[in-house]
Amino acid sequence: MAPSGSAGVAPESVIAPSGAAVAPEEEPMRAQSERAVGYTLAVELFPDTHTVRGAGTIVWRNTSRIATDKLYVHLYLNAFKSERTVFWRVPVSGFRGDPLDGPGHIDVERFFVRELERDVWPEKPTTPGDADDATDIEVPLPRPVEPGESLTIDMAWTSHLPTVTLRTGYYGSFHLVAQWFPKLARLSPDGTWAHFPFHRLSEFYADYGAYDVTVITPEPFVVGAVGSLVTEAAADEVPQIVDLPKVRETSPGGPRTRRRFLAEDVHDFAFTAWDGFRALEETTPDGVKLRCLFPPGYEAAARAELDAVRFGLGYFGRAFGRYPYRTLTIVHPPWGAAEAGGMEYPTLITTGGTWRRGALVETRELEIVTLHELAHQWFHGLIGSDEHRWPFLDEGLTSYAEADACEALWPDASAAEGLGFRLGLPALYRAGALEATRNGRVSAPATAFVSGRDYGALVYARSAATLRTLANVYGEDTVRRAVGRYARRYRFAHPTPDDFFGAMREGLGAEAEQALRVALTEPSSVDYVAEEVMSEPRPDGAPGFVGHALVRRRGEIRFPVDVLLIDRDGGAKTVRWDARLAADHVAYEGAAPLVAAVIDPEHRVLLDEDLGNNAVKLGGSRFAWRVLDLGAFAGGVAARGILP
Amino acid sequence: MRGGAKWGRASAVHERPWAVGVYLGFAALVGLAWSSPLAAAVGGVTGAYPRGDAEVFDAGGVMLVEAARRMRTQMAAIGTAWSAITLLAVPLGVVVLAFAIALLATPGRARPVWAFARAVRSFWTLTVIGLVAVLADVVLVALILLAGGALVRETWPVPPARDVARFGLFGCAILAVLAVGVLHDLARAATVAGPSRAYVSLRAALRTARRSAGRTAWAYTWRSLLGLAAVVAAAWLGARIGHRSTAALVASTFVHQLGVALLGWMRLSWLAQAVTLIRPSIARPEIAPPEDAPPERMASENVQPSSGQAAAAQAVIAQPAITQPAAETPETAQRDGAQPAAEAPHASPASPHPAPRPSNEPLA
Repeated sequence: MAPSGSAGVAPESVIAPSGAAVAPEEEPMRAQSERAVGYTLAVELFPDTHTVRGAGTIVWRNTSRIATDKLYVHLYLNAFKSERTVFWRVPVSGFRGDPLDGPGHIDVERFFVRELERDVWPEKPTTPGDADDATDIEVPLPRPVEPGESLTIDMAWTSHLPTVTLRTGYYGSFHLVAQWFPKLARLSPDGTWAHFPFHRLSEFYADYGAYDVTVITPEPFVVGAVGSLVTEAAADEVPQIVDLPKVRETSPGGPRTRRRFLAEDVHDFAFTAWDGFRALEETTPDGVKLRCLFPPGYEAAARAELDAVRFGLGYFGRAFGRYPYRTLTIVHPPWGAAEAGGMEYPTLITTGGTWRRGALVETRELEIVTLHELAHQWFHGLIGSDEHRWPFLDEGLTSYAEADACEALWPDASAAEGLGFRLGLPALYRAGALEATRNGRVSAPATAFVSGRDYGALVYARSAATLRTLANVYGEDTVRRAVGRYARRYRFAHPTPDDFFGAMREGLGAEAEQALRVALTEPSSVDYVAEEVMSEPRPDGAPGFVGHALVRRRGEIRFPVDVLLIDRDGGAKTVRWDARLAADHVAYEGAAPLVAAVIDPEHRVLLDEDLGNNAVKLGGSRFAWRVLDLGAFAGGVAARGILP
Repeated sequence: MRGGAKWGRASAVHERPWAVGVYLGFAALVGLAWSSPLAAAVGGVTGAYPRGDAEVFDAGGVMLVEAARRMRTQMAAIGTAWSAITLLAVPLGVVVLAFAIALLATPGRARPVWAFARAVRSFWTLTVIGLVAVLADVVLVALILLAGGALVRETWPVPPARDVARFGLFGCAILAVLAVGVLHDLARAATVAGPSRAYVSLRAALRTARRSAGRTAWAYTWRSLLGLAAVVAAAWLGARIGHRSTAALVASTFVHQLGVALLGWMRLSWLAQAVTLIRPSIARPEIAPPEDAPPERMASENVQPSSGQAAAAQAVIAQPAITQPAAETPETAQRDGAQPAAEAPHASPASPHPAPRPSNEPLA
């Protein structure tokens, strides 16, 4: 569908490094984050026991305006400790997350604050007020830390990985080591801590900072991690960054490899290690080193993912600001570890999917997942919104960006193509969004959604369908620029929904922003109805007919739409209806009687609840003859197989 | 050596317009009946649009997904309609198929009314054979998938090797189903063209498959491939024509139905060949040759049966014969016993059922 007023995107049949033509934005971007925290860690993975032992230092600075007398530390891995944790006990159906075959947890063995000269780790570290959960630990300090003051925390811990579930864990010798170390929560400028127990539907939120992480693994293991690999050598040849006494004591024999990764202006660190990985590497024209790690036999999938990433870096870079890092690692988990797939970390994404392509119907699942996770490099990676409190700011915008990129690659066929049909992602997002129209607010916190289905339908699908509707109505390029303005303005920052709506208002105007705000912040809907058409000879006796189409808009959301009026001779004219009124007469004047009317004939308003009532016509067949033809053909062929 | 029994070969499909008409017409009707509830449901979503259900085929698939979404609540009703149509079509299909086989199995003239009576008489036997075939399908497929699945899990636990092995497994299952289908068709042919008893027909089918495995497989395979090619071509051409206008819709429908018809034609051709193949394994010509069948042609299309075939024929020779009415072929009954020996001088005296010609098989 080519919306009016859209500059559009140059259609491409193949993935090109340059991406499609997205107009550059002038919005200034931060060159770097405030780097409120720095982690210097050294860790060793023991694949046989699936444990990671680590030690290191956190340097944290109070960037708020208020002194604080405590810290909050997230121990996300404790979510997998038992079935009594918040993560498992909150009933959330319809969402990913395989049951645990083996639990996981994290033991903090040292948490020594140099400036305070004591180990401040609490004796019974549990989530405040919840003895069964230990993912959100309050650490009281003996004295307040003043604004601008820094703390240096020496710590040691052991992470016991669970069987792979929801982004982290092991499967055989494959390990995705994520949410695995003691991680400080974020202190907001007003002095409140953004902390939360790890919930099934929630992702993460933290300060930007610098990570210097040394990872030791047995020699055969291939490792991919956040950031850039700066050294790689046998474990004994490189001096350690921090002391690892317990690691030394417990390390089994055999050669080991030590790799040091550096990442700046990121808010998380994860790595993967597997002795079965194959690797493909290439460098983009912009100098970004791409590395795809994948299981044997998945070369074609890896190449497709690299192609998608190469395209996406260009496309998203033009739309939302250039990708600032030097590396990007793509991890395709092996079979059996699909739960590790479909996740984003700064400069590292995990994908997933099959190794083969459909014969009759070509689906884009590999590219869709890859582009989705890549878009997260901006929405949450570079624009560090609070994923727990406003998940739509990352997942919703990412879904919009993913569909936008896929539509640029395969116009009107971004989801699948074959057997004479072309299916676009917007159609699927529309269907998903309408599953939960009034079930809740899109802008709600992750914990407010009562099921994974609602969460998926509202946060992912409805956000994407709403933004796509705006693009259809006001122009794809206009909306892309507005989102790009938000993305550039809040790079390396922590924006709120008001920041997003403000940027959209600047880019699209008050009317569009109001529709967006109603669609995302209220349980709301819209349904356009064409109710009747009528016409009669002109009363003044002149040749021709006058009449009208009675049209309605039901619901709170308002988008202006086209109304197509068709006369008896097949003549058609399009009238713009602003839809300000709930019911209106669209006037008709023509040479022949008016026989039909269609509201939004190009189906631009994806949030329209019922497209079946968008049209009205006088007379004529209502039977689906084309469907009958195809059905009779399929039935006739099937009869050969089913009937005697 | 070549034999010369007149009843050795089935009629060619193009010589049996009633068989073609009823068989293809029935398939088209069933396809139409299956399609109608779906078309009505889609019409309920798109009917008010001036372009009708053309909206469903637009690129992007917004209305396609909308139709699917809206139809979810109607799927129970549509499924019930489909089930009812299928329940009605299956037994009717047995009669239609038997009718076509009866006509194909009769050389020379054959009256549709007689063929219909023959079809009705074969109904229960064909039903029993059909159930046996379904049972065989289920058992074979279950064995292949369960045993093969266990082997695949053990040997190739992870993709892509696992997926490739599974493809192979599904291929084996499909081949097994096709093989059962071939035997089923042979048994059907034996039932309609020979003694109407399930056990005898199944035994004859197995015997034929064992003795003429290569010819049977070839006869089935090339016709099936041609039929499949016709369907693929129709689908491709239909997609090329599209549905943009009424004329295109008519043309597309014609092409699609032509594809279905060619598929049916190939199946009829195979069934005619199945009759020819099964004849040496059944007791006697249950459907007698008409008096006006050309003796020269018949003589050239048969060969002497092997001693095994002769013995097999002897084994089932006691089955009762059902012949076309005397009014139609007044001399049939008298000639049945003597004719093979008289008209096939090279045939073994021990066997009145010479095997068909092994090569130069014409398209029936």
